[in-house]
Amino acid sequence: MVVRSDVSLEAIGTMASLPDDISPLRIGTGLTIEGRSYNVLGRARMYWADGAWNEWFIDDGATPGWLIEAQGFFSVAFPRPLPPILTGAPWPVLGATIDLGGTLYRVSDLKEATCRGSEGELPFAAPSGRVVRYADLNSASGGFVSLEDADDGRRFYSGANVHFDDLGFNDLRPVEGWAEPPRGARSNGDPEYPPGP
Amino acid sequence: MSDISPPPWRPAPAARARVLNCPSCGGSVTVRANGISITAICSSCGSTLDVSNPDVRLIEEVRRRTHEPPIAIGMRGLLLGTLWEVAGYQSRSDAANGWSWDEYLLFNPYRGFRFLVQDDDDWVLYCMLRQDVPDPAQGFEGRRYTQRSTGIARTTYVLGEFYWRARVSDEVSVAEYIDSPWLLSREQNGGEIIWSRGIQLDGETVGTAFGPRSDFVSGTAAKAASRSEHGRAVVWVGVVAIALLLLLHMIPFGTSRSAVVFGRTFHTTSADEGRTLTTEAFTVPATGGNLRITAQAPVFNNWIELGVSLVGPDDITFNATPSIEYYYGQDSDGSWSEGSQSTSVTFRSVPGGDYRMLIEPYAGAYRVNPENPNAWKTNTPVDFTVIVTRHVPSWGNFWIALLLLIPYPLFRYFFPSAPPAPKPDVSPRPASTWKPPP
Repeated sequence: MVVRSDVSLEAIGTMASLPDDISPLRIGTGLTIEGRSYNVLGRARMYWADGAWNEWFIDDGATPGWLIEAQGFFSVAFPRPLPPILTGAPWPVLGATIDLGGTLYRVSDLKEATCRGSEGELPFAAPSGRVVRYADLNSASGGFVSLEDADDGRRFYSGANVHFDDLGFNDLRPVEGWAEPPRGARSNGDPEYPPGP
Repeated sequence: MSDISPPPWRPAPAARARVLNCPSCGGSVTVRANGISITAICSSCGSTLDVSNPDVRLIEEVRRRTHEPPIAIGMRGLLLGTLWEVAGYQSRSDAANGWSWDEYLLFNPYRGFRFLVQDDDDWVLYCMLRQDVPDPAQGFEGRRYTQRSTGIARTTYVLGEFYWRARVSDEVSVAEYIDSPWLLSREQNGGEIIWSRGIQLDGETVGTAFGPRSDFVSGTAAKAASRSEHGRAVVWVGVVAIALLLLLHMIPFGTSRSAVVFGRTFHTTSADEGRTLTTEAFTVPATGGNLRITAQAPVFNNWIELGVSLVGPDDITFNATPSIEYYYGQDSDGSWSEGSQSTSVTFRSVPGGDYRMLIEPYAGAYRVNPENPNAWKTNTPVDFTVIVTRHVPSWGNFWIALLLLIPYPLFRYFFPSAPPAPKPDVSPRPASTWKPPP
């Protein structure tokens, strides 16, 4: 596998192959976030006590980030400087609210996870066995931020909880027995979306 | 450190459900949300399995009889424009309030999960929210919700698969807020709070999506069998034989695995009558074999006819005119019904490639008098759904075997001993109040 850093590419040996899953994504899948075209370059598979999720490393050539696929839903997150209010602060508690730049975020999820497999290109070395502590926060309008604690320090990511229909996917992986939903159309009346006017 | 170019990525194989063997009874267990589900209940022996890892672990070994819910695990239906597959089912109850209800966990690999909740005639489709809901009574997304209920929901039965550690006797506190037809539900378990947004559906919508097959064998035959006091064993042997026959028929042999390749719901009005509606392109796998087009429409004392052209590579065209009509009424003999809200046509040999469908709809519901083509047009919306399935099992041999199997159990059912039993009162289910059999 190949690990990307700002200096060069490092090869760190072969990793155990990922167990198969139903994800319609693959390395090479394209997507659009706020008008910018991204490509999926790699994946880290994260396990916690009650399940697993995929973190897909995405890049548009300028602002690399992550597409998180958990329980069939998608979020996007981009690395940002740690806000002063979170620097050195105690680890958040479930249900607490934090004001970030005028928007109120609520701590909705706390968990510890281990990377147990990866493929493709990733922005950090030796991800397998990497243990990360997460605090996920949501705003009332679907904003999403995540605070991460690992051996190599605390990181902050900012983004949004997004919908399959809004990501303009192309080159998806085929899923046996299923047809790709029609492109770009939000399904009418589905409770995934807020009530219409 | 060196310049190493990334290895060439081979195209990933198609994603698929996982099929494993139950470590307790050896029965086959399908995990549809492969890589997401962590709990699966074996439908053969009822044991609970941990399927979160490649190595399947037995959590609870039990030998109990499982019962298939009214909408069977694995059944697919098109609901609000999305095709869903039933992945899990749980019964829950609130002892303090004396309530009990059913929840189906629906899965689509692109759109994730929904919960279809049935409380008597009340159906709600929920989607988990990933946003904060400060206070529904203070307004949320432009609607003002009022609290409808609070209580403790206790799980009393689980079957299928779940993305959490689903267990009988799990308890969470629940609160429900309503601004009809929209709902918000809040479930709290320890410190974790999960909000969901729901929309009320009528039984007819759910019946159109999941109805036509849910009363096949499990409903009608089993219910009829339970009415018989005598000849019960013969009837049950018959039912089991038919079920086995059905099962054998559904096991995919070779490449003839049935797969839905396309589905779409059209919302039309009288302005669309006779117009050509075109679907987006979809791919029919190049594995040879048949192709079925199923048309569904919630017609009631009415009809709809679709002029369908299936156009494929090199303009190869398959034509059909499926007609859906359903009539229901009551007369001196009781209630009667005729027709169905679903119909299908099968093309025997369809080559693979990219296809699209051209559909010209004609419907009685476009006019004030369905029988008179010159009658005034209405603005009534007319919805219909088309589903394209590859490798549909051929039913010819099945019906022959069924014909051979049925007569004796049926005879024993109606004539358990010398005096004939009274004719059971099996009245057809009216379409507008569709509800799965209890």
